[in-house]
Order: sequence, then C-alpha cells, then structure tokens
Amino acid sequence: MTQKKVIATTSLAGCFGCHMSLLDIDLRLLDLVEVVAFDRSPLTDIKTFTRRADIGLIEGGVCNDENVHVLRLFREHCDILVSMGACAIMGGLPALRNEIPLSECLEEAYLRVPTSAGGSRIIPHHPDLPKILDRVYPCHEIVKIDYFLPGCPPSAELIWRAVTGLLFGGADPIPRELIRYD
Amino acid sequence: MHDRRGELKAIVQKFAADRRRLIDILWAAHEHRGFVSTDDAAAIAQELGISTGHVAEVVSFYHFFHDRPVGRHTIYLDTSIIAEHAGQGAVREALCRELGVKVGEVSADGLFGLLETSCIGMSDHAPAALVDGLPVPFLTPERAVAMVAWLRAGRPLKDWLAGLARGDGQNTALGLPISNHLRNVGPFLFGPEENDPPVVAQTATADEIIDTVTRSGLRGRGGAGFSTGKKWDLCRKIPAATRYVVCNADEGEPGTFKDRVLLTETADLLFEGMALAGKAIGATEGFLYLRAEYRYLLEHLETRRREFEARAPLGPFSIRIQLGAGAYICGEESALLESMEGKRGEPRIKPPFPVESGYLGCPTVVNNVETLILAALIVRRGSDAFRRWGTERSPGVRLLSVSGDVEFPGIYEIPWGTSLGEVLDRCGAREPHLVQVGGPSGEVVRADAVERVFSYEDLSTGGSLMVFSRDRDRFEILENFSTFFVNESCGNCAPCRAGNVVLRDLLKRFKNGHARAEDLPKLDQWARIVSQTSRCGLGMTSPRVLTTSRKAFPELYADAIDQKKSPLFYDFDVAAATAEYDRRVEEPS
Ligand SMILES: Cc1cc2nc3c(=O)[nH]c(=O)nc-3n(C[C@H](O)[C@H](O)[C@H](O)COP(=O)(O)O)c2cc1C
Ligand code: SF4
Ligand code: SF4
Repeated sequence: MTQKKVIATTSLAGCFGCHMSLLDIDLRLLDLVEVVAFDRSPLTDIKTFTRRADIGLIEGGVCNDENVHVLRLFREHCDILVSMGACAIMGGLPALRNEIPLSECLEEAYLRVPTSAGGSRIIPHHPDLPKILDRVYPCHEIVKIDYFLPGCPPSAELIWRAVTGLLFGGADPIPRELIRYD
Repeated sequence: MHDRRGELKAIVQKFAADRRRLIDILWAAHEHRGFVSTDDAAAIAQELGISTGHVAEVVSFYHFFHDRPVGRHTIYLDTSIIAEHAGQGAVREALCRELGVKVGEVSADGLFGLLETSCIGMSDHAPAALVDGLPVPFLTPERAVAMVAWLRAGRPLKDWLAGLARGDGQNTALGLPISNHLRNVGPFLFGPEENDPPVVAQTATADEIIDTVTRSGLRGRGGAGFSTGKKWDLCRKIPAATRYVVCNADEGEPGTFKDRVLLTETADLLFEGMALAGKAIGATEGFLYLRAEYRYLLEHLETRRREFEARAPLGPFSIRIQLGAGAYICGEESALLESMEGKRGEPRIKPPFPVESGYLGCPTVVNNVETLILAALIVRRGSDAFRRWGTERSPGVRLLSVSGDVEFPGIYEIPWGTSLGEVLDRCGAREPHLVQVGGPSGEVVRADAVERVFSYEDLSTGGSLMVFSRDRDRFEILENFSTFFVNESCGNCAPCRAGNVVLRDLLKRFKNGHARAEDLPKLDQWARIVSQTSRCGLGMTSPRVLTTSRKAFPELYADAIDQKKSPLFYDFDVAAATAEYDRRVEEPS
C-alpha cells in the first residue's frame, strides 16, 4: 500500500465552524482516513508536527502573536497551504474590530463591561498569554497561501472536493454553485 | 431657537422644489450650518417629495457635503503629490498640533475642521489648501498657524489673504494671492485678441460653424480627444425638441490648473464658445459645471456671464453655472450629467452617449473649457489660422499645466508636436527623472525620453505635466496616484472599487521592500482585470500608473524585489503589531 497522505489543520482566530463543516463530510470521513492521516490538528489533538504534511488547512485569521507563530509553523511543515473560510481569507467577523483602535477594544472588553469584577482596572496580560495584534490580518499577509476556499463556512462538499482534488488529482472541476461567499 | 425646518423649506422653495437642483439645495443648506444632519436630509426630502435615502446618498457622495459638523472654519489640505513634495506634511503636522486634532477631526471648540481632499488645482501654488472655500497658497507651518490665529480672532479670511499678495506683477485679481503663472503665451490661444476680425460667428450659420470647426481638426481637450466638429454634428442630427450645451469645468486630474486660468482670464471667450456650440447644434441653453474647488471664481464668472447674456453677441443664449461639490469622477461627462440632475455622480452605461441622450435625456454636447475657447477663436480667425500650428495629424496648440520640480511652474501654450525635451528646458526642470504626462490617468515617462513629442500619436495629454527630480522616491509618487483612484472611485463597479485597493496595496509592497517575485505577474493580472472590466474611464485608466511606470522604469520594480527573501514567508513585524497592546496593558488605568 502506498503511504498515506498527511493533512494538518488548525483554527487561528476562527470559530471552529470551518472544522465542523469539514466533519460534515460524514461517512466519507471513513473513506478519507483509509488514505489520509491527520497530523497536527484539533481533530487528533496532536499539538506539534510529527512529520511533514501534504496539506495544511487554516481556519481563521491572525489576531495575536501566537497565531503568527502557528501559521509560520504550518507554512514550514506543509507543502500546500489552504485558507479555509472567510476568516482565514479576509479576517472575517473578528476583523470588524479593525476599524476601532485596539486600546478601545480592550477597554470595552475588560474594563467597561458590566461583568468586570468590582470595577477592575486590569487588562489581563501574562507572559503565557498571547499578545493581541493591532488588527486582525488575513493569513496571506503573513505567509504565502496557495489556495482559498471561500464561504462562512465553506460547505463540506467544497472542502471534500478541494482536498481530495489537491491530494489525488483528477477531480472534476468544482462547480460554480459550490463556491459561495456567505 | 432658530427655525431650521423653515429655513430648509425656504431654500427648497427658492429652487422651486425642483429635485434636479439638489446639489444647489444642499449647498444652500450647508451655507447656514456647515452640514446637513439626518433630520435636515429628511426635511429636504419631504419638501422635494423624494426619499430621505436619496438625499443622504447624495450628501455622502461628495467631498464637500457632510452629515455632521466639520467646524465653523473648514480646512481642506490638498493631498496631491505636488503638495506633499512641497511640504504639506509639515503643514499638516503643524495644524494638527495647533488645533489638537487628527486629520478628519474637529477642534474641541468646534471652530476648526481639518480635512483632506484631492488636488485642488493649485499645483503652481503648492502646498495649498481650501479654507472656507478660498484657496490658500504656498502654505508653511508658520503661515498655517498665523492663519488659524487670525481666524480665531474672528477676522475675515479674505483680509488675511489680501495681505499675502505676492506682488509678482501677475494677476491678483479677485483679491486673492493667486497668480495665473502664464509662462508661455501665444502663438494662438493667448494671442493678440485685438487683431481678431469682428466676430464672424454673428453671421455664420450652423453649417458654417460646424464646417470650420471640423476643418480646423480641433479635438477635445478634456482627455478623450474626440473631434469637436464631429461631436457637434452628431448632436444636431439627433431628432429632438431640446438640446443642451455643457461646459466641463470640473478639472479634477491632479496637476492640471489650465481651466482655472482660462476661467479667470478668458471667461468671455468661453461663453462665446458655448453660445457658438449652441448655435451649431440648435440649443439656447447652456451649463457651466464648475468644480467646487473653484467656487472662489463663481462671483467673477457670474458677473461675466451676466455681461455676456446682456450683450448676446450670437443671439439669445442663456447659461447657468452649476457648482459641483467635490468629486473627481464628476469630470466624466455622464457622471457630470447625473450630478447636474441632482444625483450621485455615478457614470452612466454608454452607449447612449450624451450627444444622443444627455442632460434630462436630451441630446447634449459636453466640451472642455479649453475646447470651447479654441472653437470660439477658430470661428473668429478661420480654421487655417489654427492649422498653421501643430502637425498634420495633431493640428493647433494646447495648454500644459506644468508643476513639480521646475523653476517656473505654470501655464505653457505649445503647438502640438513640441518635444518633451523642449518643454522641460523651458520650464527649468531640475534634474528631471520621472515625468507624469496627463496626470495619474495618463502616462509615466522617463525624463530622458526627450525626443517624445506632445501629439495625439505620441504624448496625447489632458494637459497635466508633473515633473519629478532624481531625488524623489518614485514609489511614493506612484502610491500617491494609486491612492487618488482609491479615494475617487465612485464605487459603482467592483473591479474599480476593490481592484484599485488591491493595486495600491501591491504597490505598497514594492515601496516598502516586501515584494516577492510572484507580485509582478499579480500586478499585471490585476491591472488587466481593472482596466478591462470597469464601467468608465476612471477604472479603465487607473492601472496605467502601474503599467506605464513598469514600462518606463522596469528596473525600478525588479530592484525592489529582494531575491534572497523566502517566497513563502512574508515580512511581518510582530513587535510593531503588538506595540499598542504592550503600551496599553502596561499603562496604569
Ligand atoms: C474619470 C474622468 C474624469 C474626467 N475629468 C474631466 C475633466 O475634469 N474635464 C474635462 O473636460 N473632461 C474630463 N473627462 C473627459 C470627459 O468625460 C469628456 O470626454 C470631455 O469633457 C469631453 O470634452 P472634450 O471633447 O472637449 O474633451 C474625464 C473623463 C473621465 C473618465
Ligand atoms: S469562516 Fe465562518 S465558520 Fe469559518 S471560522 Fe470564520 S466565522 Fe467560523
Ligand atoms: S470604473 Fe470606477 S469610477 Fe467608473 S463607474 Fe466603475 S466604480 Fe465608478
């Protein structure tokens, strides 16, 4: 048997909706694991790359310094990198904060909210916590991205066709109606 | 409390509740209060019987209309590259400091709003600003601060400007320190008018007028270069009860200011040209669409207009001056017509062209200021007098507005066929390196291509000539042009609205040293997409900033790509991107 192809996935500043959509391929998941191994991925809970991946699927944009780090690792360890979903492609919902200065966002989130404990004046920070970037960046501003799968989330069918097509070739062209921007 | 509602009602009534006069109505509404609030928009809409949304979308379209207060005094800094090179940056900083604001904000006392706008047609007075509608030339940080102090003391701006008069012997008419900088007069346009034969146009028939103008070979000076005689002939042949003449005085292409000078110096000739066009096509009504940046000329033009109408040398012909409200795209003829009809200045789909269906759907001739003035002189002097100058295929003369790194910025009248080298010599270009011919939508040319000639076959130009010396950062220039299109795209079609942002961002990558080899083909692809799929001339020509600069300076782009950098990892400065976070969390609050 030929060696299994390797997939890695990650969720940066995303909602995991794209990963849920990936799981929506349902029973075909069983076919997939016959020929594919998942390496670093929230699906396997493998936290560091154990081997080189053929494809890396990125969900979410880049909102903190850890995202930058992870994205660069993915670029290093994957042959093909795919931006999966609106957030990875253009920041998506989290990027709505890009119009507002970061300090205002932090103040609103941690100081002015009714749930902030006893008039707290502290914005959480700790060497172990990621630092928030000045704005949310699309992945392709940090590293080269080879393919883009639009949608919020992209449908299971689109992800299936794209991934199998990229891994094994010979796939039919993806019909237009599968490519949606919402 | 004063009765805003009643005030607005009176304004609308003054314009006979005609929704096509919405631009004028909004100007009048701004006059009193400086902005049109949502409530104002609703009130105006109700008086006119149109939707509030319609009024709001028009307010939001134009640079000089606002839906919130922008200060008792509003300062618009000219952001053209000529102004930036002349020191607008220091002026901007000084004003921000003095007023305690960022650009786009209003000072705490509500007295000053500091805003920016595209080229205001003062590249021979750079850096300049529009303050309360008046051009303030040759700004320096000290001068700007002095002006603010003067206005704070409640004194009229006009008096302060009068004190600036430069006394260089040139025109400071209109009481403003604005000179016309006529560097090269003659052989035709600014020729000796007194030698002209008595106005033959009085007796000339429509056929004769069109015949003379056609035989002169006159082509439009607004950019596209369409035969003027042919345009008039096409228009008069469309069956219609009413036709119109429109003079395009929107002059928005960065770096041009020749129409400003023509409007100041030769308004009578312009009106004569309009009446002539009217006679040729069978129109008795004309419009002069004046860009809002030239609002300070309005009074002068109205006086001349009244005199002209009273004289009526070509029979009855009435002219209305329509003020724009700040939008480069309104120079595009169909957008201009939309604006004249009280709408957002979004270009129409062509065909039909204005000659067939123009203002209010009637056949309309739209011509540039210079075109109409030349037509008037041609009919006075005959087509041969015009053809004596220029070349066989590009007959006659044209005006250039020269600015940038030159000893003598100003207006140069040249016969077509004059070489680039000759013009650069004459204007005293200082170590010229990059020359922008025809503004951002024109062409980037190497200054050492001195043998190239101004003509329809080679350097066909709308008249803007910006000269940049060797020590200027070329990418900074190109990025400024590209940003101009981002700001001025009307937003109607996606390739132009979004594509120009992509092009600008790509250019930035080159400028900041982040470009990779793959960005070059990307540039070409996007340039093609934007130029081939945009609706109007703005989108069709905006990528020329990139395509023509790549052709003129191929090494510029190649050298900007650092081949040693990985094509997979882009430059991203994490420390810079987290600096604000670090600052905020360490701050005791
Ligand atoms: C984006 C854009 C801006 C334009 N701006 C002007 C302008 O400011 N003045 C002008 O005369 N023509 C301008 N034009 C050209 C006009 O659409 C039109 O061709 C011209 O006014 C016709 O007059 P002409 O035949 O005398 O040149 C512009 C065109 C485009 C596409
Ligand atoms: S694209 Fe939509 S589904 Fe995917 S991470 Fe973003 S918000 Fe979630
Ligand atoms: S090309 Fe640009 S300016 Fe012209 S209609 Fe389209 S969006 Fe508007």
